[in-house]
Amino acid sequence: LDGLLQRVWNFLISKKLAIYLIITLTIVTTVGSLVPQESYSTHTDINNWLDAFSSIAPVIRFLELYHFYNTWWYQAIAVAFGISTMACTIEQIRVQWKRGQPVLLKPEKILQLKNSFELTVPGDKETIYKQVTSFFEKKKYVLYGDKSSFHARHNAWARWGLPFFHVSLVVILFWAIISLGFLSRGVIEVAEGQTVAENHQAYRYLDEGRFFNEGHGNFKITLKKLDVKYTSAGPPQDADASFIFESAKGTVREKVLNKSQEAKFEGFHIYLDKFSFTPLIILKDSSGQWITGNFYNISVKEEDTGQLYQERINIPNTNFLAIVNVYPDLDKKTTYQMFNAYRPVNPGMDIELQDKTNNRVLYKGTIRLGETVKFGDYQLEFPELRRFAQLIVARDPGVAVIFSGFWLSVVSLLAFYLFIPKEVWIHVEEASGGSCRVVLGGRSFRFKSLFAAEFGDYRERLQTLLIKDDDR
Amino acid sequence: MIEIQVILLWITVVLYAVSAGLYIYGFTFQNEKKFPLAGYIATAGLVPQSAAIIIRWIDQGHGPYMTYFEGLNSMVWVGMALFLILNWRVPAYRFLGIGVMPFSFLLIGAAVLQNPELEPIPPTFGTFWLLVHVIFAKISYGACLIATGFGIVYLIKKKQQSQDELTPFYKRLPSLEVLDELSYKFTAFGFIMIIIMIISGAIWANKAWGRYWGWDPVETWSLISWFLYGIYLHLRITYGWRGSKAAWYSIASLAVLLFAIFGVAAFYAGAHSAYFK
Repeated sequence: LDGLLQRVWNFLISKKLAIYLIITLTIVTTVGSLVPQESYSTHTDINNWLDAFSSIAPVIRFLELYHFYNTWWYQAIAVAFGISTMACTIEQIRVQWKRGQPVLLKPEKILQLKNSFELTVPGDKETIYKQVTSFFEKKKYVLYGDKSSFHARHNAWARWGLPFFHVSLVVILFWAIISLGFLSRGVIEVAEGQTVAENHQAYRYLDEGRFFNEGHGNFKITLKKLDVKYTSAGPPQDADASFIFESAKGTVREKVLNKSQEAKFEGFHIYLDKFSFTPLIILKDSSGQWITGNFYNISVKEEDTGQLYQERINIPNTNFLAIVNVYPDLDKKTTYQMFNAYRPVNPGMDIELQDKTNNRVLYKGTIRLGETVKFGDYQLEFPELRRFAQLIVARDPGVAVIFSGFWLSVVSLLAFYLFIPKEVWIHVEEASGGSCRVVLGGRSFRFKSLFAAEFGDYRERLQTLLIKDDDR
Repeated sequence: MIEIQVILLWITVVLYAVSAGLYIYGFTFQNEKKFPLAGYIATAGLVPQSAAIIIRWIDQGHGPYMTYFEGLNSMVWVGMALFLILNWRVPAYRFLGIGVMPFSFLLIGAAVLQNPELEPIPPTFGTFWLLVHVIFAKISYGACLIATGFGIVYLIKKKQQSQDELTPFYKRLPSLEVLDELSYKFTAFGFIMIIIMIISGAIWANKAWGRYWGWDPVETWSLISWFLYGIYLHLRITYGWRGSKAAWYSIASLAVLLFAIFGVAAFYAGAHSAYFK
């Protein structure tokens, strides 16, 4: 069993495996970027793409290529990469720990190093030894040694840069996978004057981790007022949305949100994403009896011609579908002008009401704010127009650990890059005729050619230092 | 004001073209006396380019990162500034212009052909982390450009060496080993700059939208670029990939990085494509 475990361990710490896994991850990630993804493409785009590649559509559907990076097999590659990185990191730490101890080398070993030389210099051993040690101390080397040999090391601590960088990668990778399992992130819409409780039903769209287990905050969100800020060119740029948050325990906090100001409440982060209009549409029968009435949030789309406020609404308690376009200023003359009017000066809407059972159009026309239109056995009223805010509500328990991993990776990489561990071995011994033999050898852990030039410089300087002009 | 910026950039285009031409001439006819002159002309080109960036910055009240016009321009500026610092501080590396100047000329030419209209900055963009993100995106490009520059000079010298005896011109260039190491050094630097760019972007996205990673196409391609440079470093350390292979890899990786920063936003919808117009 020991032999088998050793073989498995050797396989895991193999750099070859690590490289193959990074290459695989790179290729697979690139392939994923060529397929339209749900995260940024519409369903129509994805369906068009599937139609275009209809012969391989079953494979695409089976492998769920349109949410590529969340598939089990992509995550399995990432986990395999994480395991390989972890094993290599453990091995790196072991090797660095071993290398961390100073070692004295014999002269013949020193001369085997790529950067090495020897000098015969006049003088007594003690003085020469002192001069050489002082030379390397001035160059910020830390010395360990006895009376004739020493091991000088520069930035020895920086050899931990690479292992710590790999530790940070492992932390980021595994915590991201854990985080994916527990996060919740979705969109809640709140109209002016409305209160919404943060629970599963409140979300227009919700992305929940597998282990999230409906751990909602159940706090209440009330939008008091939404003041839109317009750019000088006209379109809305931002808004100050005054909210009241109330926890299940009764803690109340008021906060003004805008696109650069988030709120934190009950462990959730709340961001103002979009805002738009929400008209009150009331449907009555011909005798004026109320059938249904509601505020309907109208989506806003950025078009090349301007902003388009458009929504398809299933009218509750009926079989009717309403296709609604809201215009902030109906008094504008041209379509372009209407699309580029942003302030609700003379608001109105185009509405097409269809009976879904037979696709018959019951009404198609324009209603201004405050107007009532009658058609067949019904009448439609548009008495009020408010704003609503679209909030992103997110809770990600892993984010702090992941960001710690980020910082560790930056610090360790900078340590790795800026502080290059270098080491030099020196041996000084007495030679015949009152002279001494000085043997030097050195190496760096990176940028070896550049170190070779530096080592050549050491040689010249030491020669100048140890061999005085009179002796030359 | 926009007209002035465009005129200043056209002056830059001309000066960079002349400088690139002089570097190519210097290499072709092995006349390194042209390099200082090419360096002076490139420095002269940086002046109107800087002026154009400053005027635009003051005019619109935010940094140059909202459109292709601004993004390409500022990126070329950072690459040129890094190159010229190296050029003047270490005159022995003046030859690097053969790798850097033609790239810079082509990119500034592409920038000046883009729509120069001002774009308002969305409120979520006005944060410290976006500034950090953008600065490191540009430095990573600059570092990888210089790494590629060393790689190109390596390839030219290697080819010359394999054909016949090196002329004094090529002998005066750093050894192949040193050129290769310098390319590696700047690649490693670029690798660190890319990860800082990615991390600062993740922090910004988390502050703006409550998610640090969304597999936005530009995010994905930045990660792919980072992986590519990571593979380069591993291949070098583990398999001893050096010399020509490393130099060609460096050129290909720069192309991917440029695609990640500029190309992706043109082809895909996503958070970045909204402002790269």
